[in-house]
Amino acid sequence: MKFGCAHLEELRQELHSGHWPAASSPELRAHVGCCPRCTQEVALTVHLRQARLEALDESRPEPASLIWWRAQARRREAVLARATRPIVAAQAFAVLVVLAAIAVLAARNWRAVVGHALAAPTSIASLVDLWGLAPMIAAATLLTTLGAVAVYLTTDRR
Amino acid sequence: MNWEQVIPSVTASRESPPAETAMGNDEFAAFYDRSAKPLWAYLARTSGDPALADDLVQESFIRFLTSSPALDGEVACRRYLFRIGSNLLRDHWRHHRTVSIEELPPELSAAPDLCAQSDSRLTLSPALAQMRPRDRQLLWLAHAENYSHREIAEITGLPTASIRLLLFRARRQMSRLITRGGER
Repeated sequence: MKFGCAHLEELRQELHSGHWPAASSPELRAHVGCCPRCTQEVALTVHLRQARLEALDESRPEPASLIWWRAQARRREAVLARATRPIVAAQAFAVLVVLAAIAVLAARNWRAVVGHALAAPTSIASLVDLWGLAPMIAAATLLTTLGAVAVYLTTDRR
Repeated sequence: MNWEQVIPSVTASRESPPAETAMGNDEFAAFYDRSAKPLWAYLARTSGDPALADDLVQESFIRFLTSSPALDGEVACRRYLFRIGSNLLRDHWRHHRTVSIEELPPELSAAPDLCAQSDSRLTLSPALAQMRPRDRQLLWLAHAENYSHREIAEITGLPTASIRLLLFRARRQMSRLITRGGER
């Protein structure tokens, strides 16, 4: 397997600097004429350089200012996401605490609530008993409201 | 709730460029003018899709600006940019074809519109279009951009030791395709 040739580096430099073939030495030109590896190198490089020049002409890049602006916008988004990450985590934690508090409250007072719901408030005495549940209902309402606010703040991306 | 009122640094970044940006606006504009076209040429000829190259060039520059690596000099910056572009192209092929760029059949990524646009392409371009994207990538970087094996390895993410062999195979395959094309 033949990877290279002793003249390859010299030839590459000539090709890259634009000296090939006019400004190249007669020895190198003679060598390239009889070396398949160097002939291949010249053919590939000349062709691909030509293809590159044609592609450069075809290229119509966007204005640099537009790319700059988009990069700034993306960077701001990243900064914002990084900065709000602990806040979002705290809000999620708050939602969990509120939900847990509601669950504990409901579990503790489940029997009283069911009892009052089943018993028809036919007398004034039973209506007065209902006042006993007022703090619990107020606490549940407050927790639900706080939970809703916490959910809103967690999901609000703006 | 508007968090930008709570976090002053976020609001401040709106008015002035972020402090971590490696390049200033003017410096970037100059770099962009010199690098956008070569990057487009590389991506368009390697992928065979000029529209895709447009998108990838934009994305490459945006990622270049947002990543802010500590690079020394324009040559290193351009190499890094080509690396981003190569990674994006590889990701594109992975997502859209569900095979790696190495295994991609040439006909799926061949660029028919690249051929026969000028006399210089009549013999070599059909051969180039029949090659695998990875081989086109290597040949372009080595011959059109004149990158060394080490630089090609850095751009493509391939081991430096394998570049020499892969380029040898790509050149040999191209020579075969040219010979086959010439016999027809």
